[in-house]
Amino acid sequence: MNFCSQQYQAHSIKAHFCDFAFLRNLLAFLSLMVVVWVISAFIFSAPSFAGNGRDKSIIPRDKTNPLSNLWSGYYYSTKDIQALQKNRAENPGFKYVTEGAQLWEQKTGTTQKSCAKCHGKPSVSMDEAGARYPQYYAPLKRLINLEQRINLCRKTYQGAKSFEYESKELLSLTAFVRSQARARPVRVKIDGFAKPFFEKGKAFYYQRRGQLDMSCANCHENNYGKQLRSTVLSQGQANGFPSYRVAWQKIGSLHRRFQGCNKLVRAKPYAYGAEYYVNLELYLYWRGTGLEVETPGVRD
Amino acid sequence: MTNSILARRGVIAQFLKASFLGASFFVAIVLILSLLSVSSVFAAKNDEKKAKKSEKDTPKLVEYEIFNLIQSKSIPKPLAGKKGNRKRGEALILDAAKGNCLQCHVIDQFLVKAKKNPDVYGNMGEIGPSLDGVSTRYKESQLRLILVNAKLVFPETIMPAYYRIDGLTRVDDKYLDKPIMSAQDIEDILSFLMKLK
Ligand code: HEC
Ligand code: HEC
Repeated sequence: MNFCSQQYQAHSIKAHFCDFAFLRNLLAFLSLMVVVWVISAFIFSAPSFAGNGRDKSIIPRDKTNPLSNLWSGYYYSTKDIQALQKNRAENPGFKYVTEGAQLWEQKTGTTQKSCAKCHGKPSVSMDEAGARYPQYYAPLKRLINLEQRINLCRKTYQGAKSFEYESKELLSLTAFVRSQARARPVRVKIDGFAKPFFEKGKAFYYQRRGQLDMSCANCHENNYGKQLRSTVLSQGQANGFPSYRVAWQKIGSLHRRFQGCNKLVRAKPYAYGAEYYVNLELYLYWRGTGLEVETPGVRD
Repeated sequence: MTNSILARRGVIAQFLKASFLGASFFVAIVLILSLLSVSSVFAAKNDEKKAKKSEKDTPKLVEYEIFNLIQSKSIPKPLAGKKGNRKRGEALILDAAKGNCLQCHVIDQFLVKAKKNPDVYGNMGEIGPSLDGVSTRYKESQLRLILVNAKLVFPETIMPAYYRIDGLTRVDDKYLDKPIMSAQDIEDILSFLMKLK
């Protein structure tokens, strides 16, 4: 078939362009390119799905890490729980993130400043904090975690009262700030001033405690991946916190999880925000260096 | 016809030639190998001679077997002179507030019961070894010690000491200065374990 006027010679190059077969081939080629483009776009945009949880482990760069492979707690969760975490619309933790976003914009305290007033766009100013905390805070000569940093801002810059630890407000703001670092690799600083606190956290981790006389390592270093009655033990990583737990029916802080694990072995837990727990928090984040921040994680 | 016969003859001749070549190769290789092995035998004999010479100077290592002395530690007498009750022992093994043994151990005979009653018997843990046949592996006196304080048998173990109150850290007030189980509880569990074949 020929769509062009008859003035071209049958075998001239111009005639060739008018050939139906040629057009058909061109069309096929173009549609193939579109398919390739769509697929590659899908593959290369994968990082935008990241932070939802991964089925792969990573190998820690620091050779002193006692774990040879790092797995997020996501990996040890049931398929249902994983699906819940992955799906932004259904992940119950995002409800708190949204509330945190509102608190971020809210003017409050004697200065009537919002967080946004000082920090601007959270995706820019808070892109890293969630991967970096706890960190050393010179005025107090100790570590502070993200919750405590938020409360410091409230007191010093907003002229507002601290939020209670484990209050809905503090959990929401923490989840919001940490979720800005989603998909970023955890990388806490453990040298310099942080060093002695890191060592204390490590000592806490390996200390057997409670009537059952078990350390964190007994469960999360020596027996992860194994069934402890009806649950599979994870590596006890911190990268999903604050996490939504089905057992809690709400979001909860890492310190709440610490208390839970302490109670499991019938040990006396420490208070929320206790220095022991903040040191442990630093040590735990270091053990997970390189894992992606997944806040808000979902666990059963 | 004749053509094809001729052709066939050619094929046969070629086959014979090839097989002759193959066979001579085979023989050659066998010869070389056997020569090698003979020479290595000689070499070995030489080594042996050398070894015999040096035997006088260096002592010889004889195979030996390690007996785990630690495992023979035991508590021969029943705790507080109690007599165990097997039925009660089974209940204590299942009880999450008492033995809670299934948190870490599997007991095969519970697998059947788990089908009917998964909440009580199901989801056995995989942290410790299976408890089936422990009575054939240990004496009652040894099992008693494992229950009282497993760390005296397996120093780094995760298994809790069920009859111990000293040397613990930050025990919750509710459990302070109390062992996880009573002497009677432990004897009951023991009598269950001794019947586990
Ligand atoms: C008796 C066993 C046991 C001990 C000891 C224990 N934990 Fe856990 N821990 C669990 C169980 C069970 C879970 C829930 C399932 C899971 O994630 O492993 C858990 C969960 C966690 C989580 C949440 C992980 C996630 O991805 O959501 C963290 C963090 C954690 N533990 C830290 C610790 C620390 C720190 C200690 C010591 C102070 C400790 N655990 C001691 C049993 C234990
Ligand atoms: C928190 C985990 C845990 C709990 C709970 C536990 N065990 Fe164990 N148990 C172990 C581990 C792990 C070992 C293996 C010793 C080691 O650590 O190398 C073990 C070893 C044993 C052994 C020796 C088995 C063998 O074949 O060598 C016996 C017997 C035993 N346990 C009985 C019990 C009984 C009975 C209970 C409950 C009253 C119980 N255990 C509760 C973890 C546990």
